[in-house]
Amino acid sequence: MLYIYLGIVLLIVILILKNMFEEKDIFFQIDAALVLIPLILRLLLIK
Amino acid sequence: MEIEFIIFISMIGIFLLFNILLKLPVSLSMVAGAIVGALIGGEGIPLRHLFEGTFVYIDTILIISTAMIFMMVIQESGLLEALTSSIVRKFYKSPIVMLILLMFIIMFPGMITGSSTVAVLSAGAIVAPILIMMGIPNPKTGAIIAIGAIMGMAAPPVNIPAMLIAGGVDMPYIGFEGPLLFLTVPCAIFTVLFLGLKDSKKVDFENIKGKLNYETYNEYGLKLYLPLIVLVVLMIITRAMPTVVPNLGMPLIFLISSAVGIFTGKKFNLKNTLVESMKTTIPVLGKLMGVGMFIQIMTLTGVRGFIVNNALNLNLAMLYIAIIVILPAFGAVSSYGGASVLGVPFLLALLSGNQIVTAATLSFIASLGDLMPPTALAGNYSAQIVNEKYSEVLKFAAIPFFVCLGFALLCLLTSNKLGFLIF
Repeated sequence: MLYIYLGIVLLIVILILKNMFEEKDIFFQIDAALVLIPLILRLLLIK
Repeated sequence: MEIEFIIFISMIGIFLLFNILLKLPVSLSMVAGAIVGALIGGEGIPLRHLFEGTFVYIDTILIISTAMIFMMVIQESGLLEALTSSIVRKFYKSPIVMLILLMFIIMFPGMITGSSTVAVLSAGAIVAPILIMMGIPNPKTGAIIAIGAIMGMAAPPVNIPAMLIAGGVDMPYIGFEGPLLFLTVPCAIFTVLFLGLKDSKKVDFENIKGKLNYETYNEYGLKLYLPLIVLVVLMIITRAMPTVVPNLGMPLIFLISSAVGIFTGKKFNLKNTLVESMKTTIPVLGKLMGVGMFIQIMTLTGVRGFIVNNALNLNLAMLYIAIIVILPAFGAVSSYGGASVLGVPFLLALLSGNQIVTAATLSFIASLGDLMPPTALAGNYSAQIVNEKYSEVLKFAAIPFFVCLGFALLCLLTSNKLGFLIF
């Protein structure tokens, strides 16, 4: 189950990254970065 | 004046300054408010605490993201459109049944994602032309969509304000389905009939039938509804038979149902759909991150305890007045913020009532805040869909809003007697 959970987190991280680099609006990019930080920490099992 | 009060006022003031005057997004304004609060509280810029706060919502992020993927998949596959067309085809002779079912369609995306914005932009945009074709004036249609979306946001299975309130008192988000349905379904039915029934009686329904798209359903048949069936079945069996079927969790259930949806309807570009679904979701998630940081700094600096103490010291009459006035009014900032900042102390102050019913009702009242200008997420998007000013839509939304608020107050007062709703 852990790997499925991490797989879902990874999918969301990839989709956010794709949007972050494609979108030109700086506020959107900051929002995306804010969401990415906890997701990446969780993906790396740091937190 | 107590330091906690000064910190709280500064945080709210900075938030309003950044959001309303400087027109920055809600998420960044909340982060700014949190940083200023920490600085005044003598904590510097506590990065660890700021991101600690965002972790409260990590499960919520996964639920909203996967739910949005599901919504986009069923929209692209033609399921949502086919469902609307089927309802009109089957029930055009009975405006009452049709209006009620259309209201449930408006609610559906909100129920799944917990976001009124998603409900307005997906199902709201599909149902609005039908309501207008039925003869309901544009501002009334806007009001129906706005309140329908809010009812969807508050309805189970996903109610983010309820999750926030429950999380704030370490209560699991279990058993909320009954109370939330009891609150939202009657209010949704009242709203759509109150606003729509008088006008929709005058219309020639044969005329509408010709303008609807039945092609998708004719091509794919019942198979089209399979993602929805899989979703409902998985949600029920994981709850009803926990010893037989393991708890898959909402994100995995949404992804399994989305995977089914890829093969059951119109063909679409999966990669684009996935990216597009996340594009709609990121601003909502960013707002949650901002709320998380804001609340964490309130906790760190003692502001949260200060609010709880003051709420506990209010006499009962003042407490109920505060709940029905301040909680929805906080929606002008953020309904999620209202639930988190005020919902938790209000729940603690009402410990004598049934806690699940009380938390569900507080989340319902907080959700109504999505009608509050200037932010008015549900209201502003609905007004855009029907090409009206929000002030026009708000005029028609006012009476249903107060009726919903009155009903919620009644539920709060009788929460102990509503315990039978929890199953």
